[in-house]
Amino acid sequence: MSATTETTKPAPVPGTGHQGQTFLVGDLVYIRAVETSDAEYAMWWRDSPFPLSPARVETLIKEEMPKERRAALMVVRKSDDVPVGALWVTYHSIAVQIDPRFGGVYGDLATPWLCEALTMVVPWLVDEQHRPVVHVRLAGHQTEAIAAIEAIGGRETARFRTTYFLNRERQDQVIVEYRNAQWGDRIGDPNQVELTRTGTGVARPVPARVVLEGDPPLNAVLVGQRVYLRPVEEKDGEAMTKLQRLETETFHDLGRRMSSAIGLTKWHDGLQKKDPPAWVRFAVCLRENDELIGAVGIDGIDRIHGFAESESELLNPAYRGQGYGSEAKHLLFEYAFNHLGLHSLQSFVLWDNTRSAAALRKQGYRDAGRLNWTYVKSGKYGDICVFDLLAEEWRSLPRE
Amino acid sequence: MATEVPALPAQTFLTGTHVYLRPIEKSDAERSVAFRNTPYPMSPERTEEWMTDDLDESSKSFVYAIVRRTDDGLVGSVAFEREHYLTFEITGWVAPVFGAAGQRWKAEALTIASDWLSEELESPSVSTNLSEADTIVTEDLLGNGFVITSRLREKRINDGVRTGELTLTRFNRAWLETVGDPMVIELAKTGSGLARPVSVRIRSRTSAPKNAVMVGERVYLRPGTEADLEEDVLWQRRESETFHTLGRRLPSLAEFVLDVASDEEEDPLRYVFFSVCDIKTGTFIGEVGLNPVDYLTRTAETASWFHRPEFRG
Repeated sequence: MSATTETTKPAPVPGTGHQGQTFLVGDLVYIRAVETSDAEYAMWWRDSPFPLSPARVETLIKEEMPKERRAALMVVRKSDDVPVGALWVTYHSIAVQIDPRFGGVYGDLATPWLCEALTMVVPWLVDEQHRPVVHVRLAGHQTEAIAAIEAIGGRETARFRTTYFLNRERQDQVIVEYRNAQWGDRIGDPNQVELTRTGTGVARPVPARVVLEGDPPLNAVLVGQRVYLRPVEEKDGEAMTKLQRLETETFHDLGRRMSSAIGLTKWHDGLQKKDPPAWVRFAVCLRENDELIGAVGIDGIDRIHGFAESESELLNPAYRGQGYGSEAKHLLFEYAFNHLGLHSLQSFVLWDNTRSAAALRKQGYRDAGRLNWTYVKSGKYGDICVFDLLAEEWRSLPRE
Repeated sequence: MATEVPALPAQTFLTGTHVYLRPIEKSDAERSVAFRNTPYPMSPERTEEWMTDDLDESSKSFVYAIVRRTDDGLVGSVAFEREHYLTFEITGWVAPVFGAAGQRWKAEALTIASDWLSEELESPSVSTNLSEADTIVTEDLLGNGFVITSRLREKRINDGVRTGELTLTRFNRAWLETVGDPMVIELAKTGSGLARPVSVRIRSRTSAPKNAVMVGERVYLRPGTEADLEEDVLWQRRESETFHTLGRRLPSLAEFVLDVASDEEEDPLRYVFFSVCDIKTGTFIGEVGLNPVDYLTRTAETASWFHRPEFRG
């Protein structure tokens, strides 16, 4: 080997990192995939406020990030090739979700970088890669970024009130969509599809808190008039799978599902292993005979901003339409707001599932907008209606 | 003919009028909600694993079940934590679902536990932290020799409402005679005691120090590195002051690295530490952190350490 080839490669001249790249290069920033050396700048692009050593982040880049369904598109400053932020891109079955992350140290200076990055990446994902839609999640105060996407044809479709806690202020979570125009020509504008509503849309009084005269049911966490919540147990897997096989309705989700008892048990056990858990799930049981009739839970618990998504399934059809589900949900709200101290909850319902939507409104949830084109249904793309519920609203609902 | 031997009583101590304390048993896993001091639900099966694999059981740290006398039903737990070699901190837990009755059992359990620790094990002091909303428990303990030794404002959340946290301490009578009542010792204070204006936070810098999280006028915070730990270990050997904690320490780098790596695997982080660096030179001069963060109550203890003496004061 010659002496020349043995010498280490000279460090690249700052400001030349974009040279030769033919796309996703703007005036201020350019976009590239994550590299191990980005570990040294992790506080500016990781979607976590927690400080991790560069060594730990390098391990995450090499071992954990490749396994994820999402990717970090690095936003790199052209002038010095420093990664100043990232667009975290999650590939769902149809829609793509973007969560921008720019370290707070640059403050408002980062706004032009964010806007330029979004206006390059969003059309690239939709118009060049032919994806139907991109949903960008932004905070309400990021008005320039919202405007930047609107300027290229995007629009706001959902707004979850006061979701984020940033700089001592509550900010809305805003969903801005950018749709593929060719798909729009074929199947029309989803916003033109009217939402069918059932029920009065008025919240009903919250069931009275139960004062127990005797002992609570075994291992109960919260007890209502007719149902109680307890941890999901190993034996529940079998009961749940039996009830799944009895299902007659197809609109709750995208068709019916059948899981094995083994798989369900393993999944629930996995949720409980994590401490603190990101998804808390309870079995819903009847007080009269301890029979399991369903499950409720909160998923995606964000402990920084204090929000989560609620979920429920009343597996036994015999108990539907009689208020058992709502009773269980109000116990879940008490848990989320009064035990965990969450600020708000979100809920997502398939467009045609008018019954669940009506139940949510009855429980106090408010309409927050829509997420268009997120699944396949009847030869088209289907939409989701979204809801939110604030702790203070739930607390001020009338009580029975 | 053999004489009939009277049956031994099941337990001769740690018993009260309504409840008694006993070591945990595997079958307690069925009542995980009553037993585990956490709002997070866990199946009996996982609880059994948790009891076997994760629950810290030693002479320094152990948990007893609170059991109702009428039916031997498990209703809660008392966790014992020995601190500073001699003193104990005890934490009572009864599942909220038991309501006011549960509070009375908790009060009795803490009284039984503190009697045992103070009078039988002769622990110089026994303390417990309570929400200010736990009025039944507080009144009972105050009637049993405890005194309120501190109050942290808004540290707890009770039924969705913020309340203070009281620390109640019971001092051993014999030790009080030997060393006097610590409550009458005046705290020496230096400085004016007045809060100074908050220093300016710098934002929108065109060029921030690499990986900086927060930037001030003279220092900035960034995540720690292994090189920082190495430097910290070196500077601890050079330490001249002995009053920061109970004397100086000589930690090993390997131990530090292992501790930090283990902390960093948690998500969300419970121990959140930043390296403090001089903005002019980038020199690592100390650490500040939250130690640990309680995500339920949104509170934390702050920590700071400046290993470079020239940056102190």
